[in-house]
Amino acid sequence: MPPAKAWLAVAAGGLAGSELRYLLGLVFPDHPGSVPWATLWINVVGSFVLAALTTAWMARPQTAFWLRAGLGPGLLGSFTTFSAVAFAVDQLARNGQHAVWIAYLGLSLVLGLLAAALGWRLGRLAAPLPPRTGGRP
Amino acid sequence: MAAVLVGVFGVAGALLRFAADSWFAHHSTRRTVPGPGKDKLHWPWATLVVNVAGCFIIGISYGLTQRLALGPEWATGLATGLAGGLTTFSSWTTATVRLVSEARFGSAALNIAVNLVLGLGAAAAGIAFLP
Repeated sequence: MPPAKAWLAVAAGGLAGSELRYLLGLVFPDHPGSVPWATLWINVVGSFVLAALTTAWMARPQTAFWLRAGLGPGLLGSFTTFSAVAFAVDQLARNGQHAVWIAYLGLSLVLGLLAAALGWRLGRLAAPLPPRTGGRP
Repeated sequence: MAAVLVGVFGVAGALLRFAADSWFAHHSTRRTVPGPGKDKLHWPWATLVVNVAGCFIIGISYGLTQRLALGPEWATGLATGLAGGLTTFSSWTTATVRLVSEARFGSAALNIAVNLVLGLGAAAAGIAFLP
């Protein structure tokens, strides 16, 4: 069981991430029958940041666990969402808007994975791994 | 009112997801390279479980709140707060990239496919369960 401090950090991060996502949804509302852009960009940005933090923390394992838990599973885990994507795809498909749901799902996948791949690399650059014996040239 | 419910349910979703993460981290291996021993390689099971569960929740959220004669702010709380906080997109993409970085291309493709198929199925099941 993780320490209480980590649970508290996840709760705080979860609150901030959920409210931020809710707020962005209010500011940039979805238009019926079109791609839910707010959710798409939330997921792309969140994928980039989480991947960057993940490799940065791999390089710096001394980073406090509560801080990693609060920012990773807490803030970014709650900020990004999978259920809203599945629900929107379901609704668009039911309404016969096949081009829209295919575009939404495709863009979410391609941009989300590209963002995570980019973050994964940049996180390594920001915090270079300590030299390993017989490691990289 | 909706913002309060999103916050309360969002925290609940995040804590449930963290509990699932912790449970799977404790009951599975973190091994990343094949080697001797019975340990299997890591795979993002926790994210799959919370994503499927959250997709079911968002599917039933609207039907459930209607049957209970709750206001639309409760549907928002369940869908945006609980289901949104419980599920995660960033852990899914990051875990996929991690699997690719370990040259486990089949596992990465499986992670994408299984989350999508079961997630969409769970959302449809939730909608069908309480239309």
